[in-house]
Amino acid sequence: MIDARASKIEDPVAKLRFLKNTEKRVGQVETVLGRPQYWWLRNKKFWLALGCLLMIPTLSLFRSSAPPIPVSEMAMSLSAGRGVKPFREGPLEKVWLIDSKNGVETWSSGLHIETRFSTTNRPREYYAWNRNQPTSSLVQLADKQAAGIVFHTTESTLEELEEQKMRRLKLLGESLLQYVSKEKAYHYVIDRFGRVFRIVKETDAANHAGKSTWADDKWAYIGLNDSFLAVSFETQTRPGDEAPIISQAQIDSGKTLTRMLRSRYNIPAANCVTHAQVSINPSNFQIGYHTDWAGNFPFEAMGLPDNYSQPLASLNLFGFNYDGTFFAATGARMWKGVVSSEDLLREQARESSISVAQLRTQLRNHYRRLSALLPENNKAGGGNPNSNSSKAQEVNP
Amino acid sequence: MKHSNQTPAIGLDVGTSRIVAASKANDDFQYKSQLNAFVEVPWSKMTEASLKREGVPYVVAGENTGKMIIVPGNESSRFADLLQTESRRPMNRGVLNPSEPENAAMLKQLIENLTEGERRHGLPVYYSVPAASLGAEENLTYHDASIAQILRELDCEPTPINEGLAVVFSELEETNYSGIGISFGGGLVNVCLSYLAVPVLSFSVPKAGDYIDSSAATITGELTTRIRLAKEESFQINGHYADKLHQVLNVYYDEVIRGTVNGLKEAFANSRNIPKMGKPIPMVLSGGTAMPKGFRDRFEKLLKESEFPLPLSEIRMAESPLNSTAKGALVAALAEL
Repeated sequence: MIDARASKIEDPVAKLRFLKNTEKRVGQVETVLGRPQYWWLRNKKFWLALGCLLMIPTLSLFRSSAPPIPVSEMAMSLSAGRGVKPFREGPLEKVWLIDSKNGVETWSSGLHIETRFSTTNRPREYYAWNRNQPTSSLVQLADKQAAGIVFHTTESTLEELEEQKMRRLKLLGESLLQYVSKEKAYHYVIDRFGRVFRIVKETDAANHAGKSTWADDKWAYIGLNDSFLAVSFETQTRPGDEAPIISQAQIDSGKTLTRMLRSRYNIPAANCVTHAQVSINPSNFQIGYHTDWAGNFPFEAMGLPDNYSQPLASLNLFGFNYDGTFFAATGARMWKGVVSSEDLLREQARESSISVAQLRTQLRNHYRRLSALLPENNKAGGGNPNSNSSKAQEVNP
Repeated sequence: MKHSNQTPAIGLDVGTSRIVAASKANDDFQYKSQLNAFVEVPWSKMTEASLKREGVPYVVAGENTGKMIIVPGNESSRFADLLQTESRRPMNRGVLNPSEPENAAMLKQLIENLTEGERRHGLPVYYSVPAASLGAEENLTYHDASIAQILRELDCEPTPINEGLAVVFSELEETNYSGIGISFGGGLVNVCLSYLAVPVLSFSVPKAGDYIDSSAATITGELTTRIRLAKEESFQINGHYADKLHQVLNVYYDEVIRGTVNGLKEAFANSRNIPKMGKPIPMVLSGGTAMPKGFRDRFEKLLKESEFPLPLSEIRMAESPLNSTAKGALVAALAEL
């Protein structure tokens, strides 16, 4: 379809612009990359989504017309949280510790956490940028609570999940847990049997995300080792849209653990994302340096919205880009977020009357300025990143 | 060729042997090119006067240390031949030449000359960068950042574009930018498979035009500058030559083509991410090294023998092999405006 439409455009520049801008191209490319050409004919979800889509205009006839959005509000929404789809859910149930003995914690939600591999690291302390105040600097957040969750894969050796291979499965799991504990690599690991192991204390940072960035409605976070919790599944990432290797026990435990962490730290659903969504490489300004869960994380099964459709802060706030490797590693779901990020970028460029390339350069410079203020990049001085003040403190550029 | 100062953007092919700038005035693409090389000669009043008289662009450097005259760009080749010396190269194997101390300064000089009259504050410039070599974990960041820095110093807004993809944007408009673009340059052969303008696979092969020149120079005892001139003036692949220079060129051209064909086969056979194209796709060859007569035929023959895994609709030369990368970079820039 897109191919046919593009063929009708005679001007080469207009044709390229059309191809670069069209969202549908992504789906079509994904189709040729991995799926049979007419997969959607047999896909129930596709027809269900199409049905819902057709219902929307009908339903809107019965809605009272919404008041127009004031211009100032629109301008604000462009720099703040644009395109983030609200996820409606009821209040999260309160979860509390009911018992802790013999290296196992039992929580009120029925969650069991094994603590025999638990370790400590440096206390959590992180900085964020208030995206609603574009000229502001990095701010050290006072409450020091985790702002979100990053889902990982351990990328460790796997064995088939069969009873007769129990010994080998246990051996692989134990050595993995010893390793990640030594490396202080995650806060939690969920093994093949769905057992939850605490690795790094929740109040401490873990070495999980590397160079990374994410943003919610208010804050943009740079370097998620300190600001986000890490939950890793003992599995390997599958490329593109291939089905993930994850057991039902892992999904069940992942859901319970996610709800417990969100409940305890008041983490918004939009801040529960995969490593592939947040990983960046500032040396070449490409995203997706790590590609764990790049296309098939079961968000819905974890009680979360499909966060793949969220714009990537790295693209639309900090001017990062992507290459063919990232394209190949990701599935169609993640491209919704990539495309909506690009839409936001174009919109912002149009409003500022500059080209996308110019805007991207500006955003990259902004990223450089902000990341240079982080304590690990700014040990010589520039502000007081180690302050114990209870108030949010701005780092001086 | 006269350039208009109304171009909305510039496409820059920063190649190892040549830099080409593409601009657009009305509906026409216009090109300027300079050899990416320079010659340094000791200063004398007479030399400077004769350069002035002949209208050769030059720069006088080292006022305090020992004056030198630097002749950059196109004239450098003629002077090198005249003075029986090798011209110096700001770039090597597709990136900044680490053994050339003046690499960035000379590159800036050349780009400045090429974009004279076009530059204005914030002018978008898309410049070509190579892909990583097959099997090598090359870090191209420094090269990329250096060119971006040069362009920023010239008050432009730089954006990099993969060289092979630029060839696709220049030549494969009819297939909606689906196909394989190959740029046979001086330092590298850059390859990119694109599907609907999305680069799916890109890589470079490190044996290209310079390899032919230096290998032939070693065998024949000629200067590489002279080899390059001979190659550009009168060479034809598979022609029957009595002289040693042309026979040697034939051998090394064959080696470069074989190297590229092997690289293509290896990359496409080993990649798990090759799209299942619905129909055969075109392959387009560009770059100065692909210019000799008979190149396309030889390439096609060897590729067919290699059992290349993707069905191809055609293998053809680019409309303007020396300009296609710059044109593609300009098309990419215009599409973002």
